Amino acid sequence: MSSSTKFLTLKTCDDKKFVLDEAIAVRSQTIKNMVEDDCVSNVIPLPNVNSKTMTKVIEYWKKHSEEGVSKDVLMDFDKAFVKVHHSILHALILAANFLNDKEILDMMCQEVADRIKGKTPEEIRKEFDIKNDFTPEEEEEIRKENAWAFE
Amino acid sequence: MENSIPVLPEELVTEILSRLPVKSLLKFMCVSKSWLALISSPEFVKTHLSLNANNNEYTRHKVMMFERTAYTFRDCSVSCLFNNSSIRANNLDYPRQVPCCFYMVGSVNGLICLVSQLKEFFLWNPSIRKYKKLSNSKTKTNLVYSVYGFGYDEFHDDYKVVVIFIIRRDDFSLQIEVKEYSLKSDSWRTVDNCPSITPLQQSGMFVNGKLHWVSIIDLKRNIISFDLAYGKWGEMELPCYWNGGRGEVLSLGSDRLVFCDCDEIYMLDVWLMKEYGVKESWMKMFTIKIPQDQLVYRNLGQICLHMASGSEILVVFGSSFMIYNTKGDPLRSSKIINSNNWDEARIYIESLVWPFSTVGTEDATKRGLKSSGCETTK
Repeated sequence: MSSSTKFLTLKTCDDKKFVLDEAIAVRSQTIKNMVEDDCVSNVIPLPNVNSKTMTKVIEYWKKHSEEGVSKDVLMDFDKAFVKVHHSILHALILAANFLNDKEILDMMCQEVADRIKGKTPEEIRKEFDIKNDFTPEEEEEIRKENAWAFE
Repeated sequence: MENSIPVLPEELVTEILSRLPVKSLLKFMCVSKSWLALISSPEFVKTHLSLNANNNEYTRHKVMMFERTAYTFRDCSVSCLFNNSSIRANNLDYPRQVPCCFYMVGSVNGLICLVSQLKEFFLWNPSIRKYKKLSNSKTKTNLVYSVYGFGYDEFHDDYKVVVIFIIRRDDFSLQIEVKEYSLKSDSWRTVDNCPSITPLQQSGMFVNGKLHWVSIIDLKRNIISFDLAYGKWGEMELPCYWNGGRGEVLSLGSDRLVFCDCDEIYMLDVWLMKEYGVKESWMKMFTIKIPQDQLVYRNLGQICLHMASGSEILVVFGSSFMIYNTKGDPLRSSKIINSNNWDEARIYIESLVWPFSTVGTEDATKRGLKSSGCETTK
């Protein structure tokens, strides 16, 4: 290992610490800005990310930073990477947004979109924990306006 | 942990929803009041449109085929055409009120403009199945012919239809009159200062905020342009001496101008203006020989071009789809199983753009509920 390798310590909201090569951690624009502005002390706190989610993010960062990995291998990795429960997808979206990693954010949002596009409004409410605030009459009227979309 | 779902803020819900097909979004309008407001907001419609327009796999770009005699509209995605040699096209629900004999003027941001023989105009968004019949443009007496154009004025966030009327005066000389319809104001106005031209192209091509028609100007064949935002006329030279035959301005994407001319032995020259407005940047892309058996009644129909991944070009002419490389070598063709004889084809983008004015409809929720002045195709 070259002596120039710098390490950063990231601390998640559940007080777990992750030691990571700086070159990999700066895939996060948020961390990159902190490093560039020289406001990195010993430990970078990540108050919005838990350790379970961070482990997934780091797994992605490491794979995509490896040298000599073919496009096909990365595509297979990505396919497997997004196969998680939707609560983890949501957590990864929040984390990617906080860390400002557009690559992960785009991939996760696309995955959620692909999963929900064929669902019914009822299933969507359950998945996103949304309360139906329409009266039955109001809902009926909106459904009627685009009835063909429900076929 | 597993069963508690982290709640996403609205900006991230927008990120997810803007990746959905139109049909899913129309369905999800009844999820909640906030989803209805979000999906029907003009900002969301724009975000969704720009993601669709920049989709590199062209799954949200569609080719619409119109069969005039059978009065049917079908479509299929551009990605299907690039990846399959035979495709089953979807039947579209057309606006029933539209008289059967008409013509497609243009397509922008998912809206298609149609005109009937009686000069009635319709704006139609096939993805959301909504259409609007425009108010009458007042047909001229002594009309020799008229040409059309449809485009988007980004500066005023408005959709506009332009009609150039060629009228015969009592002394048999010709006079030009131009009318422009604005969707925002839902009205027609007269456009001044149109140069004395003889348009040679039925429907103007919308590129870079301007409409373009091949025309005769001062006895020379050139391109006349009309800027939809500033109402200004412009002139551009053609890339080559063109001896008549068939020639028209086309587009490659939303910002590149193409000139096609075709001689009687069906050699089609395709020129690209690499830098918009710069005459010296005209470059001959290729010459293709159109196979005679692809032509219906020796008629080329509307030619459309679509570029994929920078190395392949889809060319739609007659009733066929051909894919060429950038040198003009034919690579492969695509066939539509359930239609082999359409008259016109247009490329459009799937979008949520409503074919009616959004002025004065501050409340997006209400707009989602009631689409006033706008009919649903059945």
